[in-house]
Amino acid sequence: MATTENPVAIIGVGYTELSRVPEKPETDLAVAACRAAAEDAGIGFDAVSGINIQVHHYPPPDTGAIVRELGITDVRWSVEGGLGVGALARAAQIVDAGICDAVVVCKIMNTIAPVNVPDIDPETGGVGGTAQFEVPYGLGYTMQRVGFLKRRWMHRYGITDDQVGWLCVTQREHALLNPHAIMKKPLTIEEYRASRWIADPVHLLDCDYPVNGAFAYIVGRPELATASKPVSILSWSGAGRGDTMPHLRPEADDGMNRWAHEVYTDACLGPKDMDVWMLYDGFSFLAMMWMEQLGLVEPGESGAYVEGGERIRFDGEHPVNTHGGQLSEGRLHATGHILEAVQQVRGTAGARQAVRADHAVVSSAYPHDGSVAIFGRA
Amino acid sequence: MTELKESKSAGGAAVGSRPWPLADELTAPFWDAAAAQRLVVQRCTECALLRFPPSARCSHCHSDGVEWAELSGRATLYSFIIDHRNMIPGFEGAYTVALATPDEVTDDSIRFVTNVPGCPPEDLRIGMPLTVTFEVVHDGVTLPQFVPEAGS
Repeated sequence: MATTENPVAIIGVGYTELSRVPEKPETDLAVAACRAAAEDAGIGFDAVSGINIQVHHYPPPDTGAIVRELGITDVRWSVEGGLGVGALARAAQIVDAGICDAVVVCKIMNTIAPVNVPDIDPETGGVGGTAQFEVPYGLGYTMQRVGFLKRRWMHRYGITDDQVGWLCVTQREHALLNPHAIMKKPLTIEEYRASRWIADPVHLLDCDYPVNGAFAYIVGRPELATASKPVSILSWSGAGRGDTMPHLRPEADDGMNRWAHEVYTDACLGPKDMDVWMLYDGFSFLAMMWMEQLGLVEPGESGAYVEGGERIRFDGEHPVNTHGGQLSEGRLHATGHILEAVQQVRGTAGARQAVRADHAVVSSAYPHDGSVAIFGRA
Repeated sequence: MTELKESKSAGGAAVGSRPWPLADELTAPFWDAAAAQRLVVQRCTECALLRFPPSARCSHCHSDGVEWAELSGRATLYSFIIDHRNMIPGFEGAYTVALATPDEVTDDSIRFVTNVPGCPPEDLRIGMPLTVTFEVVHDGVTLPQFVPEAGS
């Protein structure tokens, strides 16, 4: 989809520091990130009338408390939940529809609540629902499920573990140039090889890095921005949620992501016009699958393409995840990717600025049906 | 909690403390069949679509008419992992979890989870033929498992 008439942009971005252990209440993190985003845009919260708070676990903090602390008085749209580019698309639709002139979107992450563990009855050891066909076999968490995908994809195309490692190594290089990133030490291909197995073929270093913190952005009419350059959201995909059981669905054909054609067409652009690529990397190899699914390379060619790292480095021919991605900046469920795409298109990415960044593509969730958006200069 | 008999199974996992399936109205026919050494899935009485895991109605024609169809038990190894993280109670050390696609399904829409018991991880190959076997893990609870087809 694209805007119906007037352009919609990201007009401000805000970050808190990221930490390995919880340090501040979620409400404080959200308020700090949202305030930073408004300051970056150069607007007050009297201009903001929509809010979307996303968390990693439930229950979420009270959106009402965040609204009060921010001083938003005219709330016309308030929704909890959603993820990544799907949530961005929803906010863009609200602004495009004229419901709000500006919407603040904030992702809060914390490492407090246990997530990603199967629901086993503590009394009896029994497990119901669909999980009854998996957990009794020792299958019950995401790292295992995506392991099936990695194995199958490597087998199908002859992609090597080292090639996946080069993506991780290159993204770590980027993180060292990104002051927001939690990872501060370089990574070598030897360290990737030696990284312990979680669920062979998934290494620990294939998994994104859990953090505590919040990132926020403001979607609004570009003319509202007074302090920073707005970045246009040229097109976006449907805001549907990706499948949470990727191992149980039919294998995708050799085509592109289900939204890719539509998103490129709506932006009147193609893969060759994309300068920087912010591709969801909740697991390293997902970003490589996204490279294939969005047409950066042909299916199965991402392995050879990332080898050595030069081509996907910030100064290479197709920079990928110049912020370090979730592997090395930290797990923000694609909100980090959205913020980095804004920085690159603005030309404010500092030491990691790509040579050319007129257009950015951003993706979230699983490559075959996850969400996609294209940004450009406003 | 019911006391389970301690025994050894795939990959050295102790069976005794493993989670076990809580059958409900929808899933009981599958587990009852497994206890009788039969592998069954739902078949839509309207459009004949085979489906698994069990669901209340057919995703193709939305009919709630259902019968249980016995499968041959022959399958193909779709993918596998070797777990080292051990986050599921009762599973310790490196153990195999694999997905098996039954021969009767040509559109890749059904995959069974299995530990491929008795097969060392280094012998696992995507595409290898498998055949069903049944592992009694507790009185009244039998898990279908898939093992390499004899002679393969």
